[in-house]
Amino acid sequence: MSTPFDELAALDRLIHEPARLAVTTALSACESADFLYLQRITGLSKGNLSSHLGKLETAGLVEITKRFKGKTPQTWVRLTEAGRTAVDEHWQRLDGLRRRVDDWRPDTGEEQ
Amino acid sequence: MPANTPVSELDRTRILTTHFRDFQGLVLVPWGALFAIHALFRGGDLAPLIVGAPIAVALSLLARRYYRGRFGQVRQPSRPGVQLLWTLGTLVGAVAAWSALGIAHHLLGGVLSPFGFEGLVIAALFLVVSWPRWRMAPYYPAMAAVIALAALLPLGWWLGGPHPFAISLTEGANYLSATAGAGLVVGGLLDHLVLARSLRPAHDDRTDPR
Repeated sequence: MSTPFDELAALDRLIHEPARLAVTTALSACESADFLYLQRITGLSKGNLSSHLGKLETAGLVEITKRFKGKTPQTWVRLTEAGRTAVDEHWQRLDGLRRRVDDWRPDTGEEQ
Repeated sequence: MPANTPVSELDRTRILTTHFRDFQGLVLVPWGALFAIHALFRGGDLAPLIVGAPIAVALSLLARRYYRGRFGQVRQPSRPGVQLLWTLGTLVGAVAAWSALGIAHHLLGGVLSPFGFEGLVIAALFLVVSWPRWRMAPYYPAMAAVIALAALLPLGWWLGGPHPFAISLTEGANYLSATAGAGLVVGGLLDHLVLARSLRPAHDDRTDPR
């Protein structure tokens, strides 16, 4: 019988990386958000956020749209359908894992 | 689970993103100040409201612009039907409760005057508009509780007249307006603090992410 900790290995590491988890969690709570908001909510530098978004875009989890409002460039980011499904599943797995860890007893290795 | 675990941080992220516009509290402050200033004018004079409303609109628009430039933008899925139903339901409920209190005052005469049940309508409005995000804005339920308590205390007996919140009094209507206005100002400033503390400036590190 597997322990809750075995399930940790099954987590999607692309999403589970803390900065990307924060980005995808924010995006899952809205239709789309601009680059500045994502930078503010995660506290990441421009370069770091761009790099994380690039990885998520390459994996098909987010869609990035660049446009101009007047002379000001605006970058909008949204989760794709696949991204939204992946994030929902990831959170379901995390919630389930949290419940199992709460119930798990180290002396027996069994869940209550 | 401890309050500062990453998961609860992510919960905060989710709540803040969902209610990003609602936490832009400086938008509310001009309206709260307008209601509070209106309360200073006795006799139900609407002139301060008529003069002040365009100023409040302009200041609110400026506040929105400030938030856009400083904290960015979030788009929520457009659900006009749900939003319209929610707003109309709240307004109709408030007007119905207010009218029922007016009728009760008329029918029962001075029986209700020691109490300020009108304050319960304001308390309920504070609760209704803030309940989806109360975990990050507990000051709204707290203010609602204080207003409700003040409304239910028989202040009329102690003050030797009608309750300050009582609908029958011109002064009462102004006290209620002042209370609601002050609540909006306090709530708006606290909303702004929550936003400003949660959306921190970006790190200036140049390290590459893994």
